[in-house]
Amino acid sequence: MDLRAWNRLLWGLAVVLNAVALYMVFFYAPVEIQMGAVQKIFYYHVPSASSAYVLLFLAFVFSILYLWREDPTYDLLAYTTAEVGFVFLTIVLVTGPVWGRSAWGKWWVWEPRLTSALILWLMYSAYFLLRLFSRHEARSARVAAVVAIIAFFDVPIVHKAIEWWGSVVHPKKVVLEPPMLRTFFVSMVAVFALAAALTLTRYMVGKAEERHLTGGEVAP
Amino acid sequence: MSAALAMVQEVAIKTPDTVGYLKFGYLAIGAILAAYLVFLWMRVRKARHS
Amino acid sequence: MSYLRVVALIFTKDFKEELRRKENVLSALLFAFLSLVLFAFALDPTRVDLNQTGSGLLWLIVLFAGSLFMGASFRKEMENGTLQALLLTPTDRSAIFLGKFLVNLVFLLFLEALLLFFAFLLLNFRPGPALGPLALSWIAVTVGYAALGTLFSALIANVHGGQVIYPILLFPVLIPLFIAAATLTQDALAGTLTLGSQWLRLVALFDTLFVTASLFLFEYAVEE
Repeated sequence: MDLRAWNRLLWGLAVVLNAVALYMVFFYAPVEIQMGAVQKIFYYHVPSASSAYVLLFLAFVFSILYLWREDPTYDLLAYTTAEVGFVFLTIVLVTGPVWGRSAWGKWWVWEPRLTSALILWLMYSAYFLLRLFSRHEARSARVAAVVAIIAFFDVPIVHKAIEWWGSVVHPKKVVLEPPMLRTFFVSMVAVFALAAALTLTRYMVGKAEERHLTGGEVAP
Repeated sequence: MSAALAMVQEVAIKTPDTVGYLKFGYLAIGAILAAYLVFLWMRVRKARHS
Repeated sequence: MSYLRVVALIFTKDFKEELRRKENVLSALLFAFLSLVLFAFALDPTRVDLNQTGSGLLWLIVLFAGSLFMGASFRKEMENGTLQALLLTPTDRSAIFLGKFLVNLVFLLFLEALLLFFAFLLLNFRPGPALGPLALSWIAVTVGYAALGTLFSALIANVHGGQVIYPILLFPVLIPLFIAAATLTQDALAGTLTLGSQWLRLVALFDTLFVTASLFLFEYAVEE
């Protein structure tokens, strides 16, 4: 099955799963007592974070593979997964404050997980900025790969440091009743499907750009 | 959509505007994804016409 | 030529070069001093006790001034074509990294010592008996800072406008180190710093991980 067919399949799956998930979020999942309706952002906020981490890990792996094998496909894969991961990271950083503003009254609190996400976001925006600046250099892909590797090595350290630093620990102890768990499971699968579809699409866009540009070097 | 939210509103115990924030949150997700898709589409167009 | 000899050669060559040319060293040092003065105006030391609130601030200055210096370290090599010459040596490329890293490390430590001295003079900064633990933690943190600073400097050496993105690239990755530095400084000043401090372990982990990673990745950063 060629890429176009896979893309159609993934998007079909993503659309269906997300439709079901959204229905469950708005109609099926019960409203949480402490925070009210806004708690339901959780059903997309957390899976977005998970997808982001998976994608950024993949970017790390592809970056290593690129440095090792020098195959430009690995560079495209690294760049693709990093970009889609970054989009989901952005979703986390937007939905987090919306949730926080409603549930705790402030747009931003230096809560450990959100703060770590913010630092990750900063690290990877630098990655994209570097690709933008260096697109005319021959070795830009290699330089970017090094940055992606260093950034991901830093992820666990950032988490530890922020956890120890964090003075504000948020009581995000949400008691998950079974209907909530079911909704969460569905939304998790739905978001991952969406991430997969986006990644494949992005990859195909990258391939298309490669084809249309003479020389075959992918322009970031 | 408004019917769904009306239902949610009945059950909501906290301040009614939590529903507003919920709406805003999901709209933001949609907006980000839509913006990204537009961005990708524009890249394809640029590649084809270059 | 043996590995260590190459490292030593690069270190001495570069060290002498920096001393001879002076621009990088002087501008970074002056910038640090200026920042200290600016912080005094921002904070009003007659009312603010630096020993309590200054720990992070001093490190902020080290970050900015240090990156001014390190950011330029490979660019010059690039411009003079000396980097290409260096790359032709038959030794492992990481020797070049080590040599540069040591130069940066020495400079940073010197900068920090000067900064502490001026903080003592201008801002009433009084480490007292905490000077030992303070120095230890500062040296430990500087190792990690110098390692990534050197690696990233090589990364942007060829990039047009690289000096501009150098801090944007470097600082986010250093955040855990920065937090550790600020906390360790504060603990040292409060007299509560012990060798078992979890932050020291974090710094040790950071240093080990990133010095090793830089040694391995440097080759890919400079390859043509």
